[in-house]
Amino acid sequence: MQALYINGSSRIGALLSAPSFSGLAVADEPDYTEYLPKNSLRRLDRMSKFGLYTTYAALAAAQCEQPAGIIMGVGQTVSQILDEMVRKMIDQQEGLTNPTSFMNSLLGTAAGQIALQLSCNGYTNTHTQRGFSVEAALMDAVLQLASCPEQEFVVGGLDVTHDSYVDLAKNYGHFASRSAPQVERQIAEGAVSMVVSGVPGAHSKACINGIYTIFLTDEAINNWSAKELKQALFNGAGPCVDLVLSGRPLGNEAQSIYDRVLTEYEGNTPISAFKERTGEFPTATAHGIYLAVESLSTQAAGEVNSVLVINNFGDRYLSAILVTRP
Amino acid sequence: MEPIYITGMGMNCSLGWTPEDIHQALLSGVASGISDIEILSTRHRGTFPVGEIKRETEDLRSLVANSGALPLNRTTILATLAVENAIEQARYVHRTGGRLGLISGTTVGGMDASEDGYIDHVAGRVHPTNFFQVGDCAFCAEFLADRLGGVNYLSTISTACSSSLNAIGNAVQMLRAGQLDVAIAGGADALCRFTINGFNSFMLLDQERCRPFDASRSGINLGEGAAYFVLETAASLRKSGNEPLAMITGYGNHNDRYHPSSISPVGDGIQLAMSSAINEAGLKTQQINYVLTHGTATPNNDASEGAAIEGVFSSGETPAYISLKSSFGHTLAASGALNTGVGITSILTGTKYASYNWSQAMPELSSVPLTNTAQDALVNHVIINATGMGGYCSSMVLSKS
Repeated sequence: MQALYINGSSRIGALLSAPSFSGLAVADEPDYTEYLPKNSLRRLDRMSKFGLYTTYAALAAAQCEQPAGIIMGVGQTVSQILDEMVRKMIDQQEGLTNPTSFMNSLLGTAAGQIALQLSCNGYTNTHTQRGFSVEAALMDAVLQLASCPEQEFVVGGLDVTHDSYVDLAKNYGHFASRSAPQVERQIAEGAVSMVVSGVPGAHSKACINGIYTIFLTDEAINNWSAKELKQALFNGAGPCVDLVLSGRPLGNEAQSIYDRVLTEYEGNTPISAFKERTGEFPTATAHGIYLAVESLSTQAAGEVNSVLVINNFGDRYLSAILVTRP
Repeated sequence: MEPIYITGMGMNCSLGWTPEDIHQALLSGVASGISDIEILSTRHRGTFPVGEIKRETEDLRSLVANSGALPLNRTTILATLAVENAIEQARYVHRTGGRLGLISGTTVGGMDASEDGYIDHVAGRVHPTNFFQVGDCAFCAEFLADRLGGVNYLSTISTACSSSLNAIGNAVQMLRAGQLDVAIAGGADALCRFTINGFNSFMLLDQERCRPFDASRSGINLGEGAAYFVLETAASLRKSGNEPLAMITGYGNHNDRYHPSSISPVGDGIQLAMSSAINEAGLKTQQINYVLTHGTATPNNDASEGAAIEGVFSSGETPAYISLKSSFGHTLAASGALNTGVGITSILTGTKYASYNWSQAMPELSSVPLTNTAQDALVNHVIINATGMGGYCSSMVLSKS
């Protein structure tokens, strides 16, 4: 895989100290007027605000004026605006609804808003595969940069949660491979945008050297071996990273998968459970990558040179991202 | 660029359940897939005609074996039936051990299930179906991935009405990059109250059969359907021995960056997408024989897309172009994939299907759509267009193999 250089990144999200399985960890929202005109804010849905703010902040960090394209991953597809739109449709017995609500409820709208605000006429795409939404967006960026590696793309992950989502999860259970009404999950939300290129630049802070995903079918859940991950990212070599950012959930799901993955690292490599801080949502991998970039930027060279971000969503989506110094 | 080979296709819409059904219905020109709403439960029955598949969802469920705990939504059923046809035609090449990708496009996923479930949810009752999971946009691809026995790459793309064309484009790029050997790609959307009311809120629905590229056009007829394709690299083809139906030689994706819900007057994004696709195919514009437009029949889309076509192709060299929306409606995310399927049958049979329900030239354009079906026609290269809210504009070049 061609390396992806991260030249700037930005995050909106919660940073938790005490997780809870009953409520929602709401993101700490920034002052959007830092980048967005006040009069435009009321027309934007929350997901678009998340996407726009983090995009502008990441572009500023990368000192990039104009990206070549926008690729977003959206995890939770029951957005707040969709929830409101369906409720209104029911309340008003299919009377005329608000066109802006309909538009904002479409999952591709946030990336479209970013392209519009940046006047970017390049490649635009939105991946919505729950726990692979960000991973697919990153892979998409690799494909786009293959022919023009010096270009810069905005890649990100967006998840907006709301009280109704929590109610739905309570009534119908979290996403999991089997009926799992008792799954314990700290539901959260957030956004990360990154400016990436195919070649290192003056502002490159880190580099993604490998992306591994496995969709665990019922058969694969039992048969999958962590050797496959090791083969894909390290050509079968032993643990050779300085830090593991593990998405091992706080609750009771996907534990056996992490047992298989982390055995090799325990005792040899520091392991930090990042979702204890960010909470759980499908695009949490992006937050693991963001924290990996922070670690690489703040630790001295020689202490942390490579970080493995491992994440799950439910017990069917498993991914691993290898992040190194540029 | 290395071409990617299409070795299997399956599609369904209000005109039929197979590419052959749809080919024959388009040739006949009489039977339109546009009719009054009979299946979907909505107050808009009798108001807005649609391209509806005339079978109840419960009845369709019996066509797809499902050992899972969750009942299938209508979108997933249509998608599964199309995928089954595609993989059968490609002689189950996906099971031969190569790296397999599944990329599916949808706009609203299982909204047909969600909007029923929400009626109970807002009333404080627990709905018998787990619509929270079944309604998710990713559910269809998850079900298909399980059914295929696992995949090496999985994504759902949601770029409004250009979703399936971008799903196919993503698959083409993954194959060319050597990340996959075989991919199954396409898209699906079922009719639901949510999209009917959403488009109605924009006053974009026509109360009569729609009239793409006609001066009197006044909006969309929504539709439903699915189309999926098995795509292989040249190396995979040598191993599988499959006979390609057609090749994908070019793909372009740009943003119109004009307005969140409408396209720029000159169709800036569509022009860029078509030009990129033609360039990637290594073709000159004169070599394009046929354009299957997005052609939604809204005043905005057809004026912009028409201007884009006239902008890309020199005066007097505009290839035959049509819209299929007056034949089976606007199938949202599935529309690009359904156009791709019709493009393949066009190449295979040498047919340029007509644009139906057209009578009056648009004053904004110097060209008119093709209104008489041409058989025994030269169809070597076809362009497919798809656009979506959010400024998404995509084009793909299909070529004779």
